[in-house]
Amino acid sequence: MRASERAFGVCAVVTGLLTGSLVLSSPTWAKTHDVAMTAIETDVVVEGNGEKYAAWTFNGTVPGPVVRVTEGDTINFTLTNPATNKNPHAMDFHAAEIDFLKNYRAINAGETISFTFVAKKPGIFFYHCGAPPMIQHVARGMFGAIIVDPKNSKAWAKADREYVLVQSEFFKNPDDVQAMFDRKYDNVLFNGGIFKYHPFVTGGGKLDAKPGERVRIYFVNAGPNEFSSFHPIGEIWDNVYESGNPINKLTGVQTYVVGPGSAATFDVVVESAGAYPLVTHSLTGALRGAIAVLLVSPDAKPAPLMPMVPWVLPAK
Amino acid sequence: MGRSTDGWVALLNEQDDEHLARGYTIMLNVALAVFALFTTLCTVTLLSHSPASASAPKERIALMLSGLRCREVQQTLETALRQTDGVFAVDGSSVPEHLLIDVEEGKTSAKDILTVAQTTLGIARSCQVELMQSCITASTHIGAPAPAR
Repeated sequence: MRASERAFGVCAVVTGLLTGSLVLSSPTWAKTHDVAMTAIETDVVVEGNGEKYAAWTFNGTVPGPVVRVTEGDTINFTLTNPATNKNPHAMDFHAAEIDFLKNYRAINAGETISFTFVAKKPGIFFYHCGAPPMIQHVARGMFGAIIVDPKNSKAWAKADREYVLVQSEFFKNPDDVQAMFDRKYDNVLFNGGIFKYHPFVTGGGKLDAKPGERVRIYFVNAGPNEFSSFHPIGEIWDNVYESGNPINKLTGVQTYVVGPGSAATFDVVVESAGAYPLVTHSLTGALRGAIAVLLVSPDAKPAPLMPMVPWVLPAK
Repeated sequence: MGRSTDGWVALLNEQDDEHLARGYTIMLNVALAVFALFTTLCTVTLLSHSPASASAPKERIALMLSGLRCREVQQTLETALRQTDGVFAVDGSSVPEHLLIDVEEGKTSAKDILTVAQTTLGIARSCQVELMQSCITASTHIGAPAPAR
Protein backbone atom coordinates (compact mmCIF):
# COMPACT_ATOMS: atom_id res chain seq x y z
CA MET A 1 0.00 0.00 0.00
CA ARG A 2 1.38 3.33 -0.93
CA ALA A 3 1.75 6.14 1.60
CA SER A 4 -0.93 8.20 -0.10
CA GLU A 5 -3.38 5.30 0.11
CA ARG A 6 -2.61 4.82 3.82
CA ALA A 7 -3.17 8.51 4.44
CA PHE A 8 -6.50 8.36 2.61
CA GLY A 9 -7.57 5.39 4.72
CA VAL A 10 -6.72 7.16 7.99
CA CYS A 11 -8.62 10.27 6.84
CA ALA A 12 -11.65 8.19 5.95
CA VAL A 13 -11.69 6.50 9.36
CA VAL A 14 -11.29 9.80 11.23
CA THR A 15 -14.00 11.45 9.12
CA GLY A 16 -16.31 8.50 9.72
CA LEU A 17 -15.77 8.63 13.49
CA LEU A 18 -16.38 12.37 13.59
CA THR A 19 -19.53 12.11 11.49
CA GLY A 20 -20.80 9.26 13.62
CA SER A 21 -20.21 11.15 16.83
CA LEU A 22 -22.06 14.19 15.46
CA VAL A 23 -25.05 12.11 14.45
CA LEU A 24 -25.23 10.17 17.71
CA SER A 25 -24.70 13.01 20.15
CA SER A 26 -26.93 16.05 20.76
CA PRO A 27 -26.33 18.88 18.33
CA THR A 28 -24.14 21.60 19.75
CA TRP A 29 -26.84 24.26 19.38
CA ALA A 30 -29.44 22.29 21.32
CA LYS A 31 -30.34 23.28 24.85
CA THR A 32 -32.12 21.58 27.70
CA HIS A 33 -35.02 23.33 29.40
CA ASP A 34 -36.55 22.44 32.75
CA VAL A 35 -40.21 23.45 32.50
CA ALA A 36 -42.38 23.14 35.60
CA MET A 37 -46.10 23.85 35.74
CA THR A 38 -48.69 23.63 38.48
CA ALA A 39 -52.36 22.83 37.96
CA ILE A 40 -54.26 25.56 39.76
CA GLU A 41 -58.04 25.57 40.20
CA THR A 42 -58.84 29.24 40.65
CA ASP A 43 -61.13 32.11 39.62
CA VAL A 44 -59.99 34.25 36.68
CA VAL A 45 -61.38 37.44 35.14
CA VAL A 46 -63.04 36.68 31.80
CA GLU A 47 -64.64 39.99 30.79
CA GLY A 48 -64.12 43.72 31.07
CA ASN A 49 -66.54 44.32 33.92
CA GLY A 50 -64.44 42.02 36.09
CA GLU A 51 -66.73 38.99 36.09
CA LYS A 52 -64.85 35.91 37.27
CA TYR A 53 -65.03 32.29 36.24
CA ALA A 54 -64.13 29.12 38.15
CA ALA A 55 -61.28 28.07 35.88
CA TRP A 56 -58.85 25.18 35.91
CA THR A 57 -55.47 26.46 34.81
CA PHE A 58 -51.79 25.86 34.31
CA ASN A 59 -49.97 28.26 36.65
CA GLY A 60 -53.09 30.28 37.42
CA THR A 61 -53.73 31.93 34.05
CA VAL A 62 -55.80 31.22 30.94
CA PRO A 63 -54.01 30.46 28.68
CA GLY A 64 -51.11 28.93 30.61
CA PRO A 65 -47.57 30.26 30.15
CA VAL A 66 -46.00 30.29 26.70
CA VAL A 67 -43.18 27.74 26.44
CA ARG A 68 -40.53 28.76 23.93
CA VAL A 69 -37.65 26.56 22.79
CA THR A 70 -35.63 25.99 19.63
CA GLU A 71 -35.93 23.04 17.27
CA GLY A 72 -33.80 20.20 18.66
CA ASP A 73 -34.00 21.35 22.27
CA THR A 74 -34.83 18.95 25.09
CA ILE A 75 -37.64 19.72 27.51
CA ASN A 76 -37.69 18.17 30.97
CA PHE A 77 -41.28 18.77 32.01
CA THR A 78 -42.84 18.43 35.46
CA LEU A 79 -46.51 18.86 36.33
CA THR A 80 -47.59 19.25 39.94
CA ASN A 81 -51.20 18.73 41.02
CA PRO A 82 -51.33 20.25 44.52
CA ALA A 83 -53.19 18.48 47.29
CA THR A 84 -55.48 21.51 47.55
CA ASN A 85 -57.01 20.73 44.13
CA LYS A 86 -60.15 18.65 43.77
CA ASN A 87 -59.58 17.06 40.36
CA PRO A 88 -57.03 14.93 38.50
CA HIS A 89 -55.02 16.78 35.85
CA ALA A 90 -52.55 15.94 33.07
CA MET A 91 -50.44 17.47 30.32
CA ASP A 92 -50.39 16.73 26.58
CA PHE A 93 -47.80 18.61 24.51
CA HIS A 94 -48.55 18.56 20.78
CA ALA A 95 -44.89 19.47 20.18
CA ALA A 96 -43.78 16.14 21.64
CA GLU A 97 -43.51 12.73 20.00
CA ILE A 98 -43.67 10.36 22.96
CA ASP A 99 -45.85 7.57 24.38
CA PHE A 100 -49.09 9.08 25.61
CA LEU A 101 -50.09 6.25 27.96
CA LYS A 102 -47.05 6.70 30.10
CA ASN A 103 -46.50 10.43 29.86
CA TYR A 104 -49.91 12.03 29.43
CA ARG A 105 -51.71 10.08 32.17
CA ALA A 106 -53.79 11.98 34.70
CA ILE A 107 -52.40 12.45 38.18
CA ASN A 108 -54.47 12.93 41.31
CA ALA A 109 -54.28 15.88 43.67
CA GLY A 110 -51.09 15.68 45.66
CA GLU A 111 -49.12 13.93 42.89
CA THR A 112 -46.41 14.98 40.42
CA ILE A 113 -45.45 13.64 37.02
CA SER A 114 -42.35 14.26 34.89
CA PHE A 115 -41.38 13.39 31.33
CA THR A 116 -38.83 14.41 28.75
CA PHE A 117 -39.11 15.10 25.05
CA VAL A 118 -37.12 16.62 22.21
CA ALA A 119 -38.87 19.33 20.20
CA LYS A 120 -37.92 17.86 16.83
CA LYS A 121 -40.19 19.90 14.57
CA PRO A 122 -40.38 23.69 14.46
CA GLY A 123 -43.73 25.42 14.77
CA ILE A 124 -46.49 26.60 17.04
CA PHE A 125 -48.14 23.83 19.01
CA PHE A 126 -51.06 23.40 21.38
CA TYR A 127 -50.71 22.01 24.87
CA HIS A 128 -53.61 20.99 27.09
CA CYS A 129 -54.81 18.91 29.99
CA GLY A 130 -55.94 15.44 28.97
CA ALA A 131 -57.61 14.29 32.19
CA PRO A 132 -61.16 13.02 31.75
CA PRO A 133 -63.48 14.52 30.82
CA MET A 134 -60.96 16.24 28.59
CA ILE A 135 -63.64 18.39 26.99
CA GLN A 136 -64.28 20.02 30.39
CA HIS A 137 -60.62 20.42 31.31
CA VAL A 138 -59.99 22.25 28.05
CA ALA A 139 -63.20 24.28 28.26
CA ARG A 140 -62.33 25.43 31.78
CA GLY A 141 -58.96 26.78 30.66
CA MET A 142 -56.24 24.14 30.86
CA PHE A 143 -54.40 24.95 27.65
CA GLY A 144 -51.61 27.02 26.18
CA ALA A 145 -49.01 27.36 23.45
CA ILE A 146 -45.48 26.13 22.88
CA ILE A 147 -43.35 27.83 20.24
CA VAL A 148 -40.55 25.78 18.72
CA ASP A 149 -38.38 28.27 16.82
CA PRO A 150 -36.64 26.90 13.71
CA LYS A 151 -32.95 26.24 14.34
CA ASN A 152 -32.25 28.12 11.13
CA SER A 153 -33.49 31.61 11.94
CA LYS A 154 -33.27 32.50 8.24
CA ALA A 155 -35.90 29.91 7.37
CA TRP A 156 -38.40 32.77 7.31
CA ALA A 157 -38.50 36.55 7.38
CA LYS A 158 -37.61 38.09 10.71
CA ALA A 159 -40.64 39.34 12.63
CA ASP A 160 -40.61 42.84 14.10
CA ARG A 161 -43.32 42.07 16.62
CA GLU A 162 -44.84 38.84 17.89
CA TYR A 163 -48.06 37.89 19.65
CA VAL A 164 -49.61 34.63 20.78
CA LEU A 165 -53.39 34.32 20.42
CA VAL A 166 -55.26 31.30 21.73
CA GLN A 167 -58.91 30.93 20.76
CA SER A 168 -61.32 28.93 22.90
CA GLU A 169 -65.01 28.52 23.63
CA PHE A 170 -66.50 29.70 26.90
CA PHE A 171 -69.30 27.89 28.69
CA LYS A 172 -70.69 30.07 31.45
CA ASN A 173 -71.65 27.06 33.58
CA PRO A 174 -68.29 25.37 34.14
CA ASP A 175 -69.96 22.20 35.43
CA ASP A 176 -72.35 21.70 32.48
CA VAL A 177 -70.37 19.05 30.61
CA GLN A 178 -73.41 18.17 28.52
CA ALA A 179 -73.48 21.74 27.11
CA MET A 180 -69.85 21.23 26.11
CA PHE A 181 -70.68 18.03 24.26
CA ASP A 182 -73.67 19.77 22.66
CA ARG A 183 -71.48 22.70 21.51
CA LYS A 184 -73.74 25.13 23.38
CA TYR A 185 -71.03 27.67 24.09
CA ASP A 186 -71.84 31.17 25.30
CA ASN A 187 -68.82 33.13 24.08
CA VAL A 188 -65.60 32.72 22.15
CA LEU A 189 -62.41 33.99 23.74
CA PHE A 190 -59.00 35.17 22.65
CA ASN A 191 -56.43 34.58 25.37
CA GLY A 192 -59.09 33.76 27.93
CA GLY A 193 -61.17 36.95 27.67
CA ILE A 194 -64.36 38.14 26.02
CA PHE A 195 -63.33 41.01 23.72
CA LYS A 196 -60.06 41.26 25.67
CA TYR A 197 -58.35 43.17 22.86
CA HIS A 198 -61.36 45.22 21.74
CA PRO A 199 -60.84 48.86 22.79
CA PHE A 200 -64.47 49.80 22.07
CA VAL A 201 -65.70 47.37 24.72
CA THR A 202 -65.55 47.98 28.49
CA GLY A 203 -62.19 46.93 29.91
CA GLY A 204 -60.88 45.98 26.47
CA GLY A 205 -57.32 46.65 25.37
CA LYS A 206 -55.57 46.24 22.00
CA LEU A 207 -52.61 44.75 20.23
CA ASP A 208 -50.09 47.38 19.17
CA ALA A 209 -47.90 47.63 16.08
CA LYS A 210 -46.12 50.26 14.00
CA PRO A 211 -46.71 50.86 10.30
CA GLY A 212 -44.44 48.66 8.19
CA GLU A 213 -43.69 46.16 10.95
CA ARG A 214 -43.96 42.46 10.19
CA VAL A 215 -46.34 41.30 12.90
CA ARG A 216 -46.25 37.57 13.58
CA ILE A 217 -49.27 35.98 15.26
CA TYR A 218 -48.76 32.54 16.73
CA PHE A 219 -52.34 31.30 16.66
CA VAL A 220 -53.68 28.27 18.53
CA ASN A 221 -57.25 27.00 18.51
CA ALA A 222 -57.88 25.32 21.86
CA GLY A 223 -61.51 24.55 21.02
CA PRO A 224 -62.72 22.30 22.51
CA ASN A 225 -65.03 22.00 19.49
CA GLU A 226 -65.26 24.92 17.07
CA PHE A 227 -63.15 25.76 14.04
CA SER A 228 -61.62 29.20 13.63
CA SER A 229 -61.60 31.08 10.33
CA PHE A 230 -58.87 33.57 11.16
CA HIS A 231 -59.02 36.79 9.17
CA PRO A 232 -57.46 40.28 9.46
CA ILE A 233 -60.15 42.89 8.69
CA GLY A 234 -58.66 45.52 6.38
CA GLU A 235 -55.64 43.37 5.56
CA ILE A 236 -54.47 40.14 3.92
CA TRP A 237 -52.14 37.68 5.60
CA ASP A 238 -48.78 38.08 3.88
CA ASN A 239 -47.91 34.53 4.88
CA VAL A 240 -49.52 31.69 6.75
CA TYR A 241 -47.46 28.78 8.03
CA GLU A 242 -49.45 25.63 8.79
CA SER A 243 -48.55 24.44 12.31
CA GLY A 244 -46.07 27.32 12.30
CA ASN A 245 -43.47 25.39 10.32
CA PRO A 246 -41.58 27.71 7.93
CA ILE A 247 -41.67 24.99 5.26
CA ASN A 248 -45.50 25.03 5.22
CA LYS A 249 -45.72 28.48 3.66
CA LEU A 250 -48.77 30.04 2.03
CA THR A 251 -48.80 33.55 0.53
CA GLY A 252 -51.54 36.18 0.22
CA VAL A 253 -54.23 34.48 2.29
CA GLN A 254 -57.51 36.20 3.30
CA THR A 255 -58.72 33.66 5.86
CA TYR A 256 -57.22 30.45 7.08
CA VAL A 257 -59.06 27.72 8.96
CA VAL A 258 -57.52 26.40 12.13
CA GLY A 259 -59.31 23.45 13.65
CA PRO A 260 -59.62 22.67 17.35
CA GLY A 261 -56.33 21.32 18.63
CA SER A 262 -54.40 22.86 15.77
CA ALA A 263 -52.30 25.96 15.23
CA ALA A 264 -50.74 28.15 12.57
CA THR A 265 -48.47 31.17 12.33
CA PHE A 266 -49.73 34.29 10.56
CA ASP A 267 -47.61 37.19 9.27
CA VAL A 268 -49.12 40.55 8.40
CA VAL A 269 -47.36 43.76 7.36
CA VAL A 270 -49.62 46.76 7.84
CA GLU A 271 -48.53 49.80 5.86
CA SER A 272 -50.91 52.47 7.16
CA ALA A 273 -51.84 53.58 10.65
CA GLY A 274 -55.30 52.52 11.78
CA ALA A 275 -57.29 49.69 13.31
CA TYR A 276 -57.17 46.17 11.87
CA PRO A 277 -59.39 43.74 13.79
CA LEU A 278 -58.24 40.13 13.82
CA VAL A 279 -61.29 37.88 14.01
CA THR A 280 -62.63 34.46 13.49
CA HIS A 281 -64.85 35.03 10.47
CA SER A 282 -67.26 32.55 11.94
CA LEU A 283 -69.29 35.56 13.01
CA THR A 284 -71.21 34.00 15.86
CA GLY A 285 -67.80 33.55 17.48
CA ALA A 286 -66.42 36.98 16.55
CA LEU A 287 -69.45 38.89 17.78
CA ARG A 288 -69.46 36.94 21.02
CA GLY A 289 -65.89 37.73 21.95
CA ALA A 290 -63.27 36.67 19.38
CA ILE A 291 -62.16 40.07 18.10
CA ALA A 292 -58.63 41.38 18.69
CA VAL A 293 -57.94 44.86 17.33
CA LEU A 294 -54.44 45.37 15.97
CA LEU A 295 -53.96 49.09 16.42
CA VAL A 296 -51.25 50.39 14.13
CA SER A 297 -49.63 53.66 15.15
CA PRO A 298 -46.16 55.22 14.91
CA ASP A 299 -46.28 55.55 18.70
CA ALA A 300 -46.76 51.81 19.35
CA LYS A 301 -44.80 50.56 22.33
CA PRO A 302 -43.16 47.17 22.79
CA ALA A 303 -45.54 44.51 24.11
CA PRO A 304 -45.28 41.03 25.61
CA LEU A 305 -46.20 37.89 23.66
CA MET A 306 -49.54 37.61 25.46
CA PRO A 307 -50.62 41.05 26.70
CA MET A 308 -53.22 41.25 29.46
CA VAL A 309 -52.71 37.68 30.70
CA PRO A 310 -53.82 37.68 33.46
CA TRP A 311 -56.53 40.28 32.81
CA VAL A 312 -56.02 42.88 35.53
CA LEU A 313 -58.66 45.60 35.57
CA PRO A 314 -58.40 48.98 37.31
CA ALA A 315 -59.39 48.79 40.97
CA LYS A 316 -63.05 49.58 41.63
CA MET B 1 -104.52 78.26 77.26
CA GLY B 2 -101.10 76.56 77.54
CA ARG B 3 -100.10 74.44 80.43
CA SER B 4 -96.98 75.10 82.46
CA THR B 5 -94.29 72.44 82.76
CA ASP B 6 -95.51 71.75 86.18
CA GLY B 7 -98.93 71.23 84.71
CA TRP B 8 -97.63 68.50 82.31
CA VAL B 9 -95.87 66.85 85.21
CA ALA B 10 -99.00 66.95 87.15
CA LEU B 11 -100.89 65.42 84.24
CA LEU B 12 -98.36 62.64 83.81
CA ASN B 13 -98.49 61.90 87.45
CA GLU B 14 -102.18 61.31 87.04
CA GLN B 15 -101.63 58.43 84.55
CA ASP B 16 -101.40 54.89 85.73
CA ASP B 17 -98.15 52.97 84.99
CA GLU B 18 -99.60 50.95 82.09
CA HIS B 19 -100.82 54.04 80.27
CA LEU B 20 -97.44 55.69 80.74
CA ALA B 21 -95.53 52.75 79.26
CA ARG B 22 -97.80 52.67 76.19
CA GLY B 23 -97.23 56.38 75.65
CA TYR B 24 -93.47 56.01 75.75
CA THR B 25 -93.60 53.09 73.29
CA ILE B 26 -95.66 55.10 70.79
CA MET B 27 -93.30 58.06 71.06
CA LEU B 28 -90.27 55.84 70.58
CA ASN B 29 -91.79 54.20 67.50
CA VAL B 30 -92.67 57.57 65.98
CA ALA B 31 -89.12 58.81 66.60
CA LEU B 32 -87.62 55.70 64.99
CA ALA B 33 -89.92 56.00 61.98
CA VAL B 34 -88.95 59.66 61.48
CA PHE B 35 -85.25 58.79 61.79
CA ALA B 36 -85.56 55.95 59.25
CA LEU B 37 -87.43 58.16 56.80
CA PHE B 38 -84.81 60.89 57.17
CA THR B 39 -81.94 58.43 56.63
CA THR B 40 -83.58 56.96 53.53
CA LEU B 41 -84.20 60.40 52.05
CA CYS B 42 -80.59 61.43 52.68
CA THR B 43 -79.24 58.25 51.08
CA VAL B 44 -81.41 58.62 47.98
CA THR B 45 -80.44 62.28 47.67
CA LEU B 46 -76.74 61.51 48.03
CA LEU B 47 -76.85 58.70 45.47
CA SER B 48 -78.70 60.80 42.94
CA HIS B 49 -75.98 63.44 43.08
CA SER B 50 -72.92 61.19 43.37
CA PRO B 51 -70.71 60.20 40.44
CA ALA B 52 -71.21 56.80 38.82
CA SER B 53 -71.30 53.98 41.34
CA ALA B 54 -68.04 52.04 41.29
CA SER B 55 -69.71 48.64 41.55
CA ALA B 56 -72.32 49.20 38.82
CA PRO B 57 -71.86 47.48 35.44
CA LYS B 58 -69.98 49.60 32.97
CA GLU B 59 -70.57 50.21 29.32
CA ARG B 60 -68.02 51.69 26.93
CA ILE B 61 -69.16 54.27 24.41
CA ALA B 62 -66.80 55.17 21.57
CA LEU B 63 -66.93 58.54 19.84
CA MET B 64 -65.14 59.13 16.58
CA LEU B 65 -63.64 62.59 15.98
CA SER B 66 -62.94 63.98 12.54
CA GLY B 67 -61.84 67.43 11.47
CA LEU B 68 -58.87 69.75 11.41
CA ARG B 69 -59.45 71.28 14.85
CA CYS B 70 -60.11 68.10 16.80
CA ARG B 71 -56.72 68.10 18.51
CA GLU B 72 -57.30 71.64 19.74
CA VAL B 73 -60.70 70.91 21.25
CA GLN B 74 -60.14 67.36 22.47
CA GLN B 75 -59.06 68.40 25.98
CA THR B 76 -62.15 70.57 26.42
CA LEU B 77 -64.32 67.74 25.19
CA GLU B 78 -62.74 65.23 27.56
CA THR B 79 -63.23 67.56 30.53
CA ALA B 80 -66.89 68.13 29.70
CA LEU B 81 -67.52 64.41 29.36
CA ARG B 82 -65.73 63.60 32.63
CA GLN B 83 -68.06 66.00 34.43
CA THR B 84 -71.15 64.33 32.99
CA ASP B 85 -73.33 62.38 35.39
CA GLY B 86 -72.82 58.62 35.01
CA VAL B 87 -69.37 58.84 33.41
CA PHE B 88 -66.56 56.83 35.06
CA ALA B 89 -63.64 57.58 32.77
CA VAL B 90 -62.68 59.14 29.47
CA ASP B 91 -59.73 57.77 27.48
CA GLY B 92 -58.51 59.97 24.65
CA SER B 93 -55.15 58.34 24.07
CA SER B 94 -55.62 54.62 23.38
CA VAL B 95 -57.21 54.92 19.95
CA PRO B 96 -56.24 57.85 17.69
CA GLU B 97 -59.14 60.17 16.77
CA HIS B 98 -61.48 58.42 19.20
CA LEU B 99 -62.71 58.96 22.73
CA LEU B 100 -63.50 55.92 24.82
CA ILE B 101 -66.04 56.77 27.51
CA ASP B 102 -66.86 54.33 30.32
CA VAL B 103 -70.32 54.98 31.73
CA GLU B 104 -72.59 53.38 34.28
CA GLU B 105 -74.94 51.10 32.42
CA GLY B 106 -78.49 52.45 32.42
CA LYS B 107 -77.56 55.82 33.92
CA THR B 108 -76.68 57.51 30.67
CA SER B 109 -76.87 56.53 27.03
CA ALA B 110 -74.74 56.80 23.93
CA LYS B 111 -77.19 59.38 22.62
CA ASP B 112 -76.80 61.46 25.80
CA ILE B 113 -73.02 61.33 25.53
CA LEU B 114 -73.15 62.37 21.87
CA THR B 115 -75.41 65.29 22.80
CA VAL B 116 -72.97 66.45 25.50
CA ALA B 117 -70.10 66.26 23.00
CA GLN B 118 -71.96 68.14 20.28
CA THR B 119 -73.16 70.80 22.71
CA THR B 120 -69.61 71.30 23.98
CA LEU B 121 -68.28 71.73 20.46
CA GLY B 122 -70.96 74.30 19.61
CA ILE B 123 -72.88 74.96 16.42
CA ALA B 124 -70.04 75.91 14.09
CA ARG B 125 -68.13 72.69 14.52
CA SER B 126 -64.80 72.31 12.79
CA CYS B 127 -64.46 69.00 14.63
CA GLN B 128 -67.19 66.50 13.86
CA VAL B 129 -68.14 63.92 16.46
CA GLU B 130 -70.20 60.79 15.92
CA LEU B 131 -70.85 57.46 17.58
CA MET B 132 -68.47 54.72 16.54
CA GLN B 133 -70.47 51.97 14.85
CA SER B 134 -68.90 49.25 12.75
CA CYS B 135 -68.95 45.60 11.86
CA ILE B 136 -67.09 44.85 15.07
CA THR B 137 -69.65 46.55 17.30
CA ALA B 138 -70.62 43.80 19.66
CA SER B 139 -72.52 42.77 22.73
CA THR B 140 -70.50 42.56 25.92
CA HIS B 141 -72.44 40.38 28.30
CA ILE B 142 -71.47 36.86 29.18
CA GLY B 143 -73.77 34.51 27.41
CA ALA B 144 -75.57 37.26 25.54
CA PRO B 145 -76.63 36.36 22.03
CA ALA B 146 -74.81 37.99 19.17
CA PRO B 147 -76.41 41.33 18.29
CA ALA B 148 -78.58 41.44 15.19
CA ARG B 149 -77.06 44.17 13.03
